[in-house]
Amino acid sequence: MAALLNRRAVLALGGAALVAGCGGVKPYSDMAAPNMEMRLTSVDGGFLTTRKVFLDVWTGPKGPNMEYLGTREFSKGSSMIGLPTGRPLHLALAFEEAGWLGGGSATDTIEIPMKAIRPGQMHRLTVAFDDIGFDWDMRRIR
Amino acid sequence: MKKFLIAGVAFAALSGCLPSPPQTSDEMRKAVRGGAMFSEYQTTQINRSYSAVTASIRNGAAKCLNRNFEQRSTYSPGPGMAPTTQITRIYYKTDIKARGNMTEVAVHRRYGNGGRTILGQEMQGLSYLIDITPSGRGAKVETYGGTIGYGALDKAVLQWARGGSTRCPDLP
Repeated sequence: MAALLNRRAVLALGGAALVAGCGGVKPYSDMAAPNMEMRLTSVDGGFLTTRKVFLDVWTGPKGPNMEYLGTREFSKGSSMIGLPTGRPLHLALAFEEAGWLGGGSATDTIEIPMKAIRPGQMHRLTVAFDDIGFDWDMRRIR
Repeated sequence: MKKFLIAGVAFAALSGCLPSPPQTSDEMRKAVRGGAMFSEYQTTQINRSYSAVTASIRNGAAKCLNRNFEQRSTYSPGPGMAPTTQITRIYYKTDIKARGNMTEVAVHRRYGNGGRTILGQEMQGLSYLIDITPSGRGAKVETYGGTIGYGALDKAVLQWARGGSTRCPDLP
C-alpha cells in the first residue's frame, strides 16, 4: 500500500510539474471581430532546426497589472486575429528556433506596446524568420 | 544552437580576458580603441546624408536592438541521472543619443539579473556602440564591437546605413 501511495505521489508530483512547466502558455481566443492580419512571409528551418513565430497578447501598459490573454502561432501566409478593443495592449513577438531530437531551443522576443484599438480599425503584422535573421513590421491599414 | 555557442564562446572569452564589460560609451571607445582583446573597431564612409543614415539606423535599432533572448538546453549530467535543463536569458536595450553633429547608439546587454560573476566581473554592460557623424557629403559610421559573434550585427548596421532592408541579425 505504501509503495502504491508513493508511486501515486510521484505520478501526481510529476503531473503537477508537467502542468506547471507547460501551463504557462495558453492559446489565444479572439476577443473581438478580426482586426489584425498576421502575415508570415517566410519561415525556413536552419541546420537541424525548426523555426516558428508566436504572438503573445497581454493587456497593457507593461507593468505588474498586465494580464496575459494568450498566444497565437503564425501560420505560413495570412490569418486574422481579433484583439480586444478600447484598451492598451502589450504584444510580444517570439521568434523560436528549436533543435531536432531535443537539442534545445532559442527564442528572441520583441515587445510591442500598442495603443487601444478602436472598433473598425485594422492592423497588419508581418513577420519573416529564416537564415538571414528575423524581420517584423506592424502598421495600421484602416 | 549556433547562436548559443557563439554567445557562450564570446562571453567566456570576454569575461576571461577583460575585467568587466564597459559601462559607458566613453569606456567602450577607450577599451576598443586601446586594443582590448577580441574587440574590433570599424569605420565606414556612407554616401548618404547624415540625416538619412541616422534615420535608417535609428529605425533598425528600434526594430531589432531592444529584445530578450532565451536559450534552453537540456543535457544529462551522467548515466542514470535525471536530465537537467539550463536556461540562459540575455536582455538587450538600446539607447540613442544625439549630441550636436553626432548620434550615438549604445547597445546594453545584461545576463540574467545582472550582478557579478564569482570572479567579480559585471554581468552587464555595453556590448556594442555605433557613432554616426557627418563626413564630407555623406556620413561616417563607426562601430565598436568584437571579433567573435559580431559579424551579422556589423553587416546589418551597414546595410541599414546604406538604406537597405532592416533585417534583425543574431546578436552577440
